[in-house]
Amino acid sequence: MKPRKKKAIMAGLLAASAALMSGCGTGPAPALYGPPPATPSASFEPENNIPETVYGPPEMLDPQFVPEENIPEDVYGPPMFFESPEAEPSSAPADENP
Amino acid sequence: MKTVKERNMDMLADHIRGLYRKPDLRQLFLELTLRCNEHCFHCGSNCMPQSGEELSVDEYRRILEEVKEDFDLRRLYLCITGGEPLLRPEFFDILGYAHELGYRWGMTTNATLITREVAHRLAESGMLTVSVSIDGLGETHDRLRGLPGGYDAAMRGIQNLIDEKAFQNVQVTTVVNHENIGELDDLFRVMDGLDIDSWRVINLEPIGRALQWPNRMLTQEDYRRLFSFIREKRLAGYPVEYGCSHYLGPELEGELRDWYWLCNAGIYTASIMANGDVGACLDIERRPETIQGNIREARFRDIWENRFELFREDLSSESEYCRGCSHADHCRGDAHHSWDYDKNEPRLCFKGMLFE
Repeated sequence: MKPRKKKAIMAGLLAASAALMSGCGTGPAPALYGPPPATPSASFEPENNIPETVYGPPEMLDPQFVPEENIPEDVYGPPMFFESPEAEPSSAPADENP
Repeated sequence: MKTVKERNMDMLADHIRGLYRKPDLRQLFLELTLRCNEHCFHCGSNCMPQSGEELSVDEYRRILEEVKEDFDLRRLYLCITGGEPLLRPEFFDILGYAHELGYRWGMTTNATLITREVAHRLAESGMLTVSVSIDGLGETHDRLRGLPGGYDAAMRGIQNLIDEKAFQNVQVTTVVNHENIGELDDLFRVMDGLDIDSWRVINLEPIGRALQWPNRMLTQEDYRRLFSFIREKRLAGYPVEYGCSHYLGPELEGELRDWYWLCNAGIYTASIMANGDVGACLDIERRPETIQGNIREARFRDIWENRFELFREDLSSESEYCRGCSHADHCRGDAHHSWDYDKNEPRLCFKGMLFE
């Protein structure tokens, strides 16, 4: 399989969870599925929260989609629908930010 | 104090209420045929060896022209399915015309018919994405899908698609049931050896033919195992994802897929069935109240704009089962495809199984 590319509504969350799993973090006790989530995007855009079903990444449904710019190399560029991890807030609520 | 996730899902709930009033068609499914060369025990379509009354090529051409006139193709994705869509003799006539009109499209297929030549023709016809069903290792796959040799043929088809190097997303979809869940780790190794873009892993749904196989439904322990598996692979950076199937609860939402739960049916998604009936998601039980019209009797836009009331309110709103549930705002009664319209309750609800 190719590496998991972008389209991560919670790339930061997953990365942070992975870090917690590896021991760097002192949060609440792990829940059923492992450490608690870290920092989901606080500037969530609900209009971009479109399930992709089986037909491909949601950015293909970008309302700004321009066929001429639909170059395969760009398909897995920075998320267009979901905030990039860099855009996440520096701090999160106490209940989610160990 | 609400978590960020909860606040996001609150915002999404508000947005969905807006979509109920002003739906936004983003995915249009075309079921080209109900014929299939496999006989999957879990098929939601209850595909038949032969089925009459299929829309003609001329009818598809008219539909494609009208939809282009009525909707913005830049916002719309055409999703081709069946049956096995490649069994439709006029497949390339229909999709070639769609491509000519400017549609972007993808397909679900069992891939058993995808030779190198077919893969090339799919690329020439503008196919962008494809999802292929693999439901277990060789013997298991063949047994569950009712076609001896089906696994080998599908794997050849997948390789032909990959080798074409023309598609933006070559995906494998696996339906996990109580029989094949033990093969997940071995299947992962197989998938990891393929140059695919994503592996979509979903649970067997209590719909269609699968209702005849209650012993193959996942148990609570199976679900936890499945979701832990997906989560673990995603944390490790693999493109493994759960489908749009169900609300997963506050802990798992946002972790097994790249969006928060919502059911597309009737707000983002509509379908035109092989006989011209118009509905929401093709996995939804076909009964009079879920069929919104027929393309032979009305223009698609009129049906989309003036029908679909069933799909434009929360399922939970009138359900005794959901009454008082603290998750109802985010779950909304879960998915239409697994809703029991007779009992007015979900056939599958993870409350009590995955979360309280």
